[in-house]
Amino acid sequence: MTFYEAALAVAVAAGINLALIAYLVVRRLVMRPTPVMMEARSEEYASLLDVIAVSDEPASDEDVRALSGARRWERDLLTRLVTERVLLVTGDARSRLVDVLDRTGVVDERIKELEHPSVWKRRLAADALGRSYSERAISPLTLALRDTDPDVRSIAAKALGRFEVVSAIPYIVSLIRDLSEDLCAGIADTVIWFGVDAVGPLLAEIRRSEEDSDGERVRYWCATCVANIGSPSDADGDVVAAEALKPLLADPSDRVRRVAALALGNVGTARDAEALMPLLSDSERRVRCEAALALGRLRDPGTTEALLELFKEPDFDVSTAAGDALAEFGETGLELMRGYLRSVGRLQGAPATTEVGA
Amino acid sequence: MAKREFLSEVRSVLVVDRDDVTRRMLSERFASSEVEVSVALSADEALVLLAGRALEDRPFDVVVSEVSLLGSNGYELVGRVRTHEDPRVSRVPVVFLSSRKRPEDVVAGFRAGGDDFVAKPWDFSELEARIGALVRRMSDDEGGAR
Repeated sequence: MTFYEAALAVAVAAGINLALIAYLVVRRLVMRPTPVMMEARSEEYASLLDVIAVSDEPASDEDVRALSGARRWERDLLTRLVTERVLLVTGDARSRLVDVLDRTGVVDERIKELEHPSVWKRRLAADALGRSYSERAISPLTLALRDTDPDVRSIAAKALGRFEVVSAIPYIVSLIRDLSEDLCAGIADTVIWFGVDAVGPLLAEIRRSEEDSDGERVRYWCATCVANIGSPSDADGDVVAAEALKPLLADPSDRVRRVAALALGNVGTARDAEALMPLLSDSERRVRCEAALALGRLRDPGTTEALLELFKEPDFDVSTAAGDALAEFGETGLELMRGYLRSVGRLQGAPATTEVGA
Repeated sequence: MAKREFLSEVRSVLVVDRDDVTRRMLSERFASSEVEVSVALSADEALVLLAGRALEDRPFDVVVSEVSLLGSNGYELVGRVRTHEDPRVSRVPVVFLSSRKRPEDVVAGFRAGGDDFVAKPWDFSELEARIGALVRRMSDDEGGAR
């Protein structure tokens, strides 16, 4: 190698290094903000958003331009600042903030990202759209309930829960079929948030799962939702819900039987008590406990003798649950327990009004 | 900007909240309606401001306080306000503006001596209507007492 060739090689290597350093510096300055830049922009955006939120007028075009950052981090910052404020206020102030996010193009950008090949981008987009509170996000989020990625589906469901989109409930409930157990818990939270509007779709899903050999998870989570939501809005709804839950009381899965008993105790009436009676002798102690407590809530006088038998069980939790259930019947239930305790010498000369507790 | 309808008789407000965004938004709203705003993050800080303004003989017209505060809570703040020796402090109306909104939280607020309770997220018009009504009632009472 000649001297000139060596000098040229050194010069080329130095040039490449310099270009790389320049690229990193530019990237640092343009793509990734310094803390100072971030803080300054955050203050600028926050001040403007506060003025817009408390104003009596929608944001001006000039304000929207000032908030339309060209860089990705600026748009992420704007989304975060708007979300912080949207969660605090309602009415016109919330509408004005959501309008800003719409007009700066952030919502459109996130909607496009719901179709991005990257799963991560789609998950982030679904989450951001849920926090945007923009009604334009509802339709794309409903489509995202059928995304190939279970996390995207789950995040979209939670996002729609924030919007309280009742028409999306059947889709959200149906997600329980194909999501893993940990994601089902999140879906259940979302469904419970909808309240009585979700009871119909939940019961339909329970009925559908009876034909499905792998429907245990669906029955468990749907019954859990019904138990937490409680009574449907009218008497007819009560009957429909109770009848749909009764087959689950004989389910092979003990957790389904347990949660079905809990749900029936919450939505049923005294006429549904009969269906719970076989569970008082269930092989699983937690099922017996839940059935006893449900009977206490239904308060059918015909069940007190059976509850008293359960009260005599040596298992402390089962006996306590039966005692709590009997206490729901008032003086009748208390007197039954007192009579038994006196007969076994565990209560002597107690006055008639003494509470029989643990 | 002119005074908003319900704030016509409100001259000064003390906002007590540990959340920066809440303090900022309330300050901006009140200031845009020509209401003087002071902010505090804790009960101690709020009491110093309340006592200081009373000594200057220009007490706050109303206190807007979150229930959860730094190092203490809004119930404790109201308790200390109501038992303050200076009547210009002890008589100031207190409106809770809180994300704790279960019935027991609301009842605890009134039991502690609060005058009203607004849940977060709030609507500015409703908050102002409640504050305006409280301040008007207080000034009517004072007028009647004279």
